[in-house]
Amino acid sequence: MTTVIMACPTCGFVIADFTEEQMAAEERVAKRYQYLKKKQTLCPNCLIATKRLKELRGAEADEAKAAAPVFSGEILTPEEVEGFEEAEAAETPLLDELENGPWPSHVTELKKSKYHMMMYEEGMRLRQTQWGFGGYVSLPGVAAGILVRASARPDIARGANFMRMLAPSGGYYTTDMLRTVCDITDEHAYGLLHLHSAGGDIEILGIPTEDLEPTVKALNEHGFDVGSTSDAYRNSVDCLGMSRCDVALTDSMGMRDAWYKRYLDDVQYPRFPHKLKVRFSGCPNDCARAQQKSGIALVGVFRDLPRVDGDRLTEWVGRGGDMNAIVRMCPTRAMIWDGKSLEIDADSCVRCMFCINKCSYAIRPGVDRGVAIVVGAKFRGKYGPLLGKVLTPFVPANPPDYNEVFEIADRVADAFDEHARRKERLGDMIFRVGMDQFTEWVGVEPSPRQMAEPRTNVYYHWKAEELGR
Amino acid sequence: MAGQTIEFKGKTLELDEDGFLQDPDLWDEEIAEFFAKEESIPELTEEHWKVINYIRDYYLQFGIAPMIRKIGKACDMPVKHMYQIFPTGLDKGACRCAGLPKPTGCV
Repeated sequence: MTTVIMACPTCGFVIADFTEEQMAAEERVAKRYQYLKKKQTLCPNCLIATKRLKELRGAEADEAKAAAPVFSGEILTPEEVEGFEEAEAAETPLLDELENGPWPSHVTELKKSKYHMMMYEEGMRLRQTQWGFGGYVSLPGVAAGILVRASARPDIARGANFMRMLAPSGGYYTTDMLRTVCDITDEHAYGLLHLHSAGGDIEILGIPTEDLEPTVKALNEHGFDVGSTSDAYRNSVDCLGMSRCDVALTDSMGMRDAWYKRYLDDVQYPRFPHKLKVRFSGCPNDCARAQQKSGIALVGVFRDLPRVDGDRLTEWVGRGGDMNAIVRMCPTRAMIWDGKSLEIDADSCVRCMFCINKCSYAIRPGVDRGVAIVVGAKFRGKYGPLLGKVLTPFVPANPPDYNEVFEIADRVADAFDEHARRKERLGDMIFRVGMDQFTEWVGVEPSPRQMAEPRTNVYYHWKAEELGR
Repeated sequence: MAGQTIEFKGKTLELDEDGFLQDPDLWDEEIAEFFAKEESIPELTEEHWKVINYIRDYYLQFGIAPMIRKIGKACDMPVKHMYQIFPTGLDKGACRCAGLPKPTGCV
């Protein structure tokens, strides 16, 4: 069987593929093949891009490309930079202004390190940042690469490499561990840490190219790992979970550890069309911001109703607790309160945890606990910020290996890998193809519970037989 | 560092600032072996050639480097193994050996 692939000549995106049998059997397919062959058509993305670029920005784009600085990835020592002494001696009046005031100043901190102050000062003076584009430096043994921030002013600094260090679950560091990291940073880099970056990892800034390997080696020797770069699983963020929280429904930190055990290869060896982030939240309060920021969010949920302790509730109200306010604020009006006893309507309750947060003395989360898998949230990208959509509203969470949860997460990652276009986020892909198509690829039954807004959707309730009651 | 020009076995090769071959038509197997040494690959084995030939065929057909998943499927290798045989990465190591210009975006 021979397959004919019609691909976009610019980006390689497969527009259609036909087998010869299909073409012989169906006239429609044969016609489509002839049409595509005759037109040599581009994929929709390229069609838009090329037309726009050529018509609107042709000359402008060419000029910008020619003017862009060429950067080799190396950092020069001060002595090698031309005119460095003048730059060093130059004063930084604009930055000095930022040191005034009763609050801690970032300029004071930056001045103590080996950071290139003149890059910042010039940026302030010209009202235009002097740092250039970002990119990767390849380092044997670190498949995901090391990040680099290029400079648009090679006369001051030639750019800076920086690497990301994966943080332990919960963001718990002993002072001892931080001291080790600080020592390594002092020895090899600016002596400046970025704690935490938006991805929840430690960024070690300003490492010269020849020092990259020793730095990675030193970090590895102390049991730390670098990563969170390139088109792989990025560093995952979790809430404090059962280690410090009173409403944690699942052990989010344990789940993150189990996840790293299972997917370490995918963290270290990039294989996706674009980055993919995973976050773990212990309950629907979502302190880890999983439903807003991660491609795959694993959020602890409960299926049965909030447990109300009548005696404690009476005591709480007797102490001056305002139950009426809570009942009024319930988003789906699921509570019935007659001044003595509280009833919660199972069909209306959406498990938003508002009452539990407000009156945690008497109302506690239910006991039938698991994980909701929410997919496709992201901030940047083609279609703007997107909230996550619920893929599976309840999966049992069974420590220590959480197989049920990770099997679905696995299928999501595979569907993303198989069907996404180049540099397309998971959220963008779901937005493009629709939830119907996506659930088919993942192999999950479509249901009304797959909604965009978990806290207000009225279909988010469970029938008694589903709960086994 | 701008691009450089090197003389190799009677051919004049123009490289860009990252050492990628500017004109893919000048590529031959000896050049691949020469690049491989610079990319910390001691010797090009059969597996290397499988990956290199696939990337090159794909590039000549579509004008762009293939995605990692496609390489893995076509060459029947896990992604991890491919990174191990090309220690400097698939985008730099493998594409450079295959004589492609510097890939834009991901491989």
